[in-house]
Amino acid sequence: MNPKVIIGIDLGATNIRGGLVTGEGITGTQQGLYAVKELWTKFYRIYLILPVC
Amino acid sequence: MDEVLQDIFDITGLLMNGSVAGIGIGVPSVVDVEKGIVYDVQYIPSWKEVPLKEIMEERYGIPVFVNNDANCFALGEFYFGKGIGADHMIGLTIGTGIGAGIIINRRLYAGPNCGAGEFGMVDYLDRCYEYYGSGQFFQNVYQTDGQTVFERAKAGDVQAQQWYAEMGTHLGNAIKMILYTYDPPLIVFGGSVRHAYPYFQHTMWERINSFAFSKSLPRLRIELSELHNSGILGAAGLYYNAL
Repeated sequence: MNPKVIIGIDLGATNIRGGLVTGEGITGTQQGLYAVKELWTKFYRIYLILPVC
Repeated sequence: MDEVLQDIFDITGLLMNGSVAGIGIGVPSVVDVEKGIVYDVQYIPSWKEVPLKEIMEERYGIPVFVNNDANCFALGEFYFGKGIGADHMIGLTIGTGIGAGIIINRRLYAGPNCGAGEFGMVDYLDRCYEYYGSGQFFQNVYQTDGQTVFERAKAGDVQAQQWYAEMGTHLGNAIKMILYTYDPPLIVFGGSVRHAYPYFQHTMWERINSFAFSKSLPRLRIELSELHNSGILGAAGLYYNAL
């Protein structure tokens, strides 16, 4: 297996998750950070704008 | 765009150390793999065209590889899951749609536009395969959501189990189409629908068993992913795949 350490990042539908990976699997800390702030902003805009329309 | 990028920088910063040789990123979108530009990312409206590879390489000074999430799923299984040791395989994600990553001769084949393996979009009946052969089926045909049907099937609801059987017929036809085009010896299922495999496997295999080249079928394995973090592992696998 490849011993090099790689950061893997999964930009998912609701969050971003990442981990340190070697050929053996995930070896380091994983973190989940929500990346949908922009999405929620958009939804709020839709909810705010729709009644006006 | 900046908020999501900042989140990527934050998580990369938490993980970065001197031994890191590269970064792999899986995104739910079409990608110009060579330039690492992502287009029209699902769920992130402002990401119409983002040169993610260039941005990340300038910031961190190490190689960055970007590809779509279904391809990353396949690579995750190939390097760390049910695909270990395989020369050729298809990673098939079955959730609210059908996506796929194709491994040929131990390499990912994504196509120049990262569009290879979009089996779910192929015309089928009056729609396309993913309309009938994925979790969409329940909403499209019976106006209910897949999670509700799954819970009902688990509780022994015969009607819900029958709906899964119908979906399995369509999925089996989709797999036959994949067999005719790629003849893979291994297909690994990912995505939420795989958890309902007991409810659709019978009808799915009925359709697969009608495959014209019957000598091929004994060499076909269909496995269910058991990997946690296949997206992260597969994203890192983009680096190994490029070596």
